[in-house]
Amino acid sequence: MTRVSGWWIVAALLLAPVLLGAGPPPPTASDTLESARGLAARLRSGGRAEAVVERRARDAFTGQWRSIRGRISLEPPDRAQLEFPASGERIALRAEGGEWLQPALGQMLRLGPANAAAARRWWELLLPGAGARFAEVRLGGGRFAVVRREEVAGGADTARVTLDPHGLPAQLEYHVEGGEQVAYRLSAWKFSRARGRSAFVIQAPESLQVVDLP
Amino acid sequence: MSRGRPALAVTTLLVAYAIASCAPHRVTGPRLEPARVADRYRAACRARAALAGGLDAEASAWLKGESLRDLPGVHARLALGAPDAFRVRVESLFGVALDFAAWGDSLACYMPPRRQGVALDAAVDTLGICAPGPLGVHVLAATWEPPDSAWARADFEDTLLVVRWVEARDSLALGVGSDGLPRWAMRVDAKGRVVEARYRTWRFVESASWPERMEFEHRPSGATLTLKLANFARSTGSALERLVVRIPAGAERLEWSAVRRALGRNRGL
Repeated sequence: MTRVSGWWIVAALLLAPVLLGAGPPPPTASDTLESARGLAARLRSGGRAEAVVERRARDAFTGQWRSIRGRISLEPPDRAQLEFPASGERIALRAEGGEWLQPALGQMLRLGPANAAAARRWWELLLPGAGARFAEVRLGGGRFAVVRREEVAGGADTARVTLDPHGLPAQLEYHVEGGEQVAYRLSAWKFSRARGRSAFVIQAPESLQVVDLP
Repeated sequence: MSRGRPALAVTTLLVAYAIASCAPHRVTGPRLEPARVADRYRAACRARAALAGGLDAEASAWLKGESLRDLPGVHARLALGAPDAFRVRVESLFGVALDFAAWGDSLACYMPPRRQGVALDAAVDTLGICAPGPLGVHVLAATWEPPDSAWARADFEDTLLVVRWVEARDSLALGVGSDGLPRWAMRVDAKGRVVEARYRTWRFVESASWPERMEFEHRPSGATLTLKLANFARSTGSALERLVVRIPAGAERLEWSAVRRALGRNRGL
């Protein structure tokens, strides 16, 4: 009996890393889109990527481009955060949900998995492991067309990614028919150690109303 | 003694007069004549109507009601094309949730995330709303047009001059302050359904007084929509670009009842 228990302990110790790491195995290079490989390589050595982001959208009323500048942070496997100081908006996104602070509306939206996934739909293609959900076509000149494999409610199914000379994403653009033509310009990439999930959770200020969305 | 009494009485009266003179007075200014208030309203309304011919603004909107779930506020763009067209586009960092336009008797609504839309050529047949385009402009720009005969019958209720009139089968009423700005407008349709617009705060846009914060109460449902406007700008785009909602060829075209159901379900980005 004692010998059997010992075997179980040894077996448990051997299996522990596998059991504790339950879930999808870490993404391999082949799971990562070619357009995201430069970013994935830098993320493997650091764990966290940050960049200046400029969101540009064509105004349906005037036909002119409107832009807002902010910052984006990314950490594998599924975390993204966007901050726009001019409007005070902050969005934290994870696989299981997220938060969206909207001071101008006096509220913070608490996103469930469905809405967090909708909000992450283009940012996740920059992270390792997106190869399972997107296909891509090299267009030349550091440009790629990235196509979502499954049709998802929420508009565009194709985005274009342009890389900078270092192989890092410099622009992500998409067009929703009858909606918006949007381009995110990315620059000044910085890499550092991962801060973990807590850095991707926004606590609601008491002055704001919290609204839960699915 | 007898000589002293009149002197005392005079002194008392003088002191009383002096005290009364020093006491704070309740000043009641002369109430304006209804015709003067009407003139002020017409002048301010003309200025707003001229501006509403091509004005864009950003809007924050909150919908509340006992029967409604906890709905988030939304950001929208608003385009006015007085006298008979307007467009509202609900949008965020994650795209356009809803695009709505009304012109004359017609309206169109498109929801890009669902790739669904509706277009009605005669809204009165489906919605019971006669001419949603002009009605929307009147509501958003506070450019109500009571006829002269209604102004002639207008009377003060408390501090507001209230004017009542009838349009088609609807009864309307407007409460106007002495500054000529409307404080509320009410519309009662033939079935007795009441919609009230309350103009809470005003601001100058160019040289016109413009409603900045409004509340719309739909009494049958108890729902209240609060609208706060900001970043006004004269339009620079063409009317066709600004005021027309195009439903893409591949989009699903719905009946209005289906759109209402879809809007009720839409709690996503």
